[in-house]
Amino acid sequence: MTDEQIVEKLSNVFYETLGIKEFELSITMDEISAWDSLKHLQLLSSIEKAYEIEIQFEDAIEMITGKSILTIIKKYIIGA
Amino acid sequence: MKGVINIPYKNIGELFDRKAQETPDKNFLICPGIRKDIFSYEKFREDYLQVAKYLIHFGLKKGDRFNLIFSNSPEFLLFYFAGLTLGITVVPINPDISPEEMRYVIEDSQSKAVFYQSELHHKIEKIMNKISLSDIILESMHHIPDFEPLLLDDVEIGELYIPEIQLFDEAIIIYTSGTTGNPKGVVLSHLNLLADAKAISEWFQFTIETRTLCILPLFHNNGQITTLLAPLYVGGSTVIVKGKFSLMAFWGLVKEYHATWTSVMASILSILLSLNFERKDKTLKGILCGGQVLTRSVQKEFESRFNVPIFEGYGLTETTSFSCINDYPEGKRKIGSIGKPLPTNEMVIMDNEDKELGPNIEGEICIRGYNVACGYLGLPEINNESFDNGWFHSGDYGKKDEDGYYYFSGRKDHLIIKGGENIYPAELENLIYKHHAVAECAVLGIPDKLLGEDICAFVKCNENTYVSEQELKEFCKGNIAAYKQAKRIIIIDDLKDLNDIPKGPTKKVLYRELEEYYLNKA
Repeated sequence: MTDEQIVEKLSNVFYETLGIKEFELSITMDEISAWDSLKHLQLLSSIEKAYEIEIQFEDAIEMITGKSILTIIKKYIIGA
Repeated sequence: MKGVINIPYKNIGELFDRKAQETPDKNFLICPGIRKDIFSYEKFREDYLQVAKYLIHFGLKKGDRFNLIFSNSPEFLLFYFAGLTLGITVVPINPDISPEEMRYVIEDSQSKAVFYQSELHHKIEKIMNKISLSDIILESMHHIPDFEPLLLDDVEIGELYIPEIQLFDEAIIIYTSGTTGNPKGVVLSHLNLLADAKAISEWFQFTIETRTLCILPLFHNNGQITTLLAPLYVGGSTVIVKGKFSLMAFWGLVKEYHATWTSVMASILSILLSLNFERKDKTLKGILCGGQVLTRSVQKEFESRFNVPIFEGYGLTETTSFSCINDYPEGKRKIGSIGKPLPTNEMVIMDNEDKELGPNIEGEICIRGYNVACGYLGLPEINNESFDNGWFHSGDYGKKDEDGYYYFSGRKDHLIIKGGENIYPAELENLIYKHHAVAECAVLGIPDKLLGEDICAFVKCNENTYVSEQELKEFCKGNIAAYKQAKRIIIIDDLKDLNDIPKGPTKKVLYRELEEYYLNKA
């Protein structure tokens, strides 16, 4: 999967979970009021399903920005 | 309040000083995240005293107030302890509220400064020219390590003047999540904080080895008292995840950091039950649960699956945190009860004329003691009503049994009066929760022309299961009096414009929003 494909899928997840239409990698959890801990859980679940990965807890607490989410997804997909 | 309380500290700063002297190298604070920060007692104290100098640099002094708008973070706590040490009142604000709601709290609390995390600048920008307080300082703060320049100062800590702070001095103001009208600022003193922290730490026999996992927001009382100040009281430690906490990480964090205690709202237990994560640790001794009705079925299922006891308790912001908790250790609990009063306070059940009621008669829960707040900020009339003859009138209904155990029935606000009959939502919620397909449920009163009020339940199903309104109504029939059965049961899974039962930042159900949804859309 290319980076572009990963980001496109991630954009869809953010849209479906948080209703964010203009997804950017610079997005952070603290900036978005609707992105609370419950939504974070739903977001991570959706990411797991979308990419067929299983997120470990150490990564779950780091996945609070668009950029960190992308980095961690790539780590699971590519194994980097 | 009967009895003298033995607290050997005059204020929170003195408590921390003593613990830092006793065990300077012991870990006080662990903050997992993208960058893990660990603070020993000595290091944390040094850092917050540097922040104290920063506050003085801005002209803040004892008797002033400042707002803190941060998600859980070491930066929040550095400002928190700096303020308390200098006798400056800390007024935390929930980062998720709207700019106008923030403005209300800033103005109502008459703060001299607002320190907020840099990610929230877009919110502060919208109100910075509208705040009516003149000369208010608005400072955007970055996170560690960009925060560290604040801590580098060539003025020695020894030159820092720490004013005399007494037990009854104002310490923090926490705004309640107000179900009607504007939020109210609950003023808590150093005595309130120390008394409740002492009571909780002694109730659960906390020791220097105690390590709490803080998953509730620090801008509310529960997280601050039970998982920060209570372990501090005995020289223990706290794990605080930066930012908003993901429950997906809960069991992993308990295991990784050997947490021994945590504190939750009941809805968090339901969410943990719905996840496919199992407990992996051997250290967790118990979980405090309050702030919301804990249904028996959720408690039983949680304890059975995860083998960790839940200690249900009750309290309000106005009683600092908990005012009563179920007995410890687990074998002494009375399941279904919210427990017995803490040694720092007394509780009674009163009728509408403020007469104390005997066992098993329902009335209003009233509390007085060292942990009862000084009052609401700037609301003398409400203070006269709510804090009457030394007793705080909670607005909650309950009763006590012959053994002195208390039971919560429901909020006055949520009491449903149907054709003259009082109905507590918790009665029906407890029953609906017993259905295997139900993940979450909230029962509320809805207007009815004939009866005054009728009953509506909102239900969310477990993943991969479903139950219809009709099936649930059949389920309830015969198990509860006919007049307590719901007129409508709305299955959230059927709705397109409601995904979940709306909840506040501490996961309390927002009944008002459900009522509005029902009136406008259902």
